[in-house]
Amino acid sequence: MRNAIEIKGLCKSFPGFVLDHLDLTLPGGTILGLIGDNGAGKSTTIKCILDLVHPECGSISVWGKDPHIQNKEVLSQIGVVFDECLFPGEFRTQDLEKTLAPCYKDWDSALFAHYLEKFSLPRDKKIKEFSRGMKMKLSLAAALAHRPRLLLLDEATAGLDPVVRSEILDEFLDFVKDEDHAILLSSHITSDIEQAADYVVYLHGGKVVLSGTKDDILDSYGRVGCTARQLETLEPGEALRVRRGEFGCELLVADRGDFARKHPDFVVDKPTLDEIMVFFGRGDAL
Amino acid sequence: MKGLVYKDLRLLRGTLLIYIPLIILLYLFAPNSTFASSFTSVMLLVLPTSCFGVDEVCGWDKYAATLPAGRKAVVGARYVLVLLLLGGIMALTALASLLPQASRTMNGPFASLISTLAFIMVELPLIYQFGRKLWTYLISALVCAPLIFLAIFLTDLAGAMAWPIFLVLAAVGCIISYQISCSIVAKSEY
Repeated sequence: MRNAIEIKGLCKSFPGFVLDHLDLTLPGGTILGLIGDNGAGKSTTIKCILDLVHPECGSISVWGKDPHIQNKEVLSQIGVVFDECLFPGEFRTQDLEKTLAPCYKDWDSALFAHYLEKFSLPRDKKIKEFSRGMKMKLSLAAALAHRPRLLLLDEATAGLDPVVRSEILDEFLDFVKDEDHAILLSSHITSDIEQAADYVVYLHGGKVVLSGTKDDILDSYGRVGCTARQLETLEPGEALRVRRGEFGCELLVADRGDFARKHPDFVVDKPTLDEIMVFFGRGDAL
Repeated sequence: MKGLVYKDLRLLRGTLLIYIPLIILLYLFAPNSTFASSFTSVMLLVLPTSCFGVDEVCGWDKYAATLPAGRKAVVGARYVLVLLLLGGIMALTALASLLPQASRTMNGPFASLISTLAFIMVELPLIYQFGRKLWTYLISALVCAPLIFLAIFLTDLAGAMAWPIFLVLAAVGCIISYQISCSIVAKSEY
C-alpha cells in the first residue's frame, strides 16, 4: 500500500503561531481526520501540502512527489474543497466548467454533469444564489470531476445541515474504495470524523497530541469520573489529563481497560473524540 | 491558461456589452477622436483592475493557486486579458479611422493606448505585490507620467512610425512586467 501523504518534521510559523515538527502519514485507500480547535494548524497543514504556504522545514510528499518541486503533477492529482466556495458568484455551473476544464488534463465533463445531477445543483442559477450546502456540493463536484487520487477537505462540512453532511460523507466513503485514492479531512466537527475516518490526528497549539487509528483511539482511551480524594490516590502518569469541577473530577486515560483493572472502584467510560479534544483543550496535565 | 482567460472575459462580459457600443457611439458622434481614445484608454485601465477586485471578493486567488495550470499561467492569463482588450480596442480604433470625420492619423489615439498599456505594465506587478491600494495607482501614475509625456512628444517627432515603435517598446515592457509579476506571485502565500 502506497502512502498518499507523508509529512515529516513540518514546521511553519506565523506571528503568534508555530506548526511544530508535524509528522503525518495518510495511507492509500483511507480517510484521515485532522481535528483540532480553531487555530491549531489544520488549515496550515493543508496549505503546506498544496504549496499555498512555504514551510520552513520538513518534507512533504504526495504519492511520492514533492508538491513544491513537482507542483503541476501533484496538483493535477488533488481535488480540494475549502470551507468557503471560492468561485465567482456571477458564474453558473457551465461557466465554472469552461474555466476549470482546460486546467485539468483528466477533466471529465460527463462526470461533472453526473455530480451536478446527483447533488441537484441547478444549471441556470448563479453561484451567488446557491445556499451554503449547494456551494459546498458544487465545490465537491468540481474537485471530483477531474478524477483526483487525493481529496483535501479543509473544514468542508462546517455550517452544513446533517442531511447534506451525510450526503457528502457518503461520497467520501465511495471515493476511497480502492488503495489508489485517499482523503484528508480537516474538521472540528468530530462526529463527521467518527463516522468516516480511519485515522485521526489531533492538533493542538501546532503540535500533534494524538495520532492513531480511530478505532484504536476510541477503543483504548477512557473517561474516568472520580472525586478529588480518589484523584489523590493515583500515581503520576496514570491519567493523561484532568478536568476539575465543582462536584468532582474527570480524567482522560490512555488505556481504559488497564485502568479499570487497576482501579475497579472508578467509573470508566468510552469517550467521544469531542470529549478527548475538550480534555486536551481545557484540561490540565496530571 | 485558456480557462483562466475565459474566466476574466466572462466576468467582464456585461461591462463589455455596455462599453463597446458606447465606444462606437463616441467615435461616431464625438467632436474628435481624442475624446473617444481617452475614454477607451480609461476603459483599458479599469477593466483588468476590476478583475482583481472580483478575485479578491470571492477568494479566487487561493483556489487558482491550487490549479495544476500553475501560478505563472494564472498571472499570464491576466496579461493575456490586457493584451486582448488592447487588441480589441485598437481594432475598433483602426475601424474608426475609416470614418469621414476621423483625423488623418490615428497616431494620437494609438499612442494614448500604448501609454495606458505602459501604465498597466507598471501597475500589475504592484497590485500583485501590494494589492489594490490607492497608492499603487499613485506610484504607477508617478512612474508613467513622464513616459506618457515622452510618448506624446515622440508621436509628433516620429510621425506615422510612432505607434509601431511604441508597440515594440510596450511588448518588451510586457515581458519584463510579466516576469516581475510571476516572481512576486511565486513567493506569495495564501
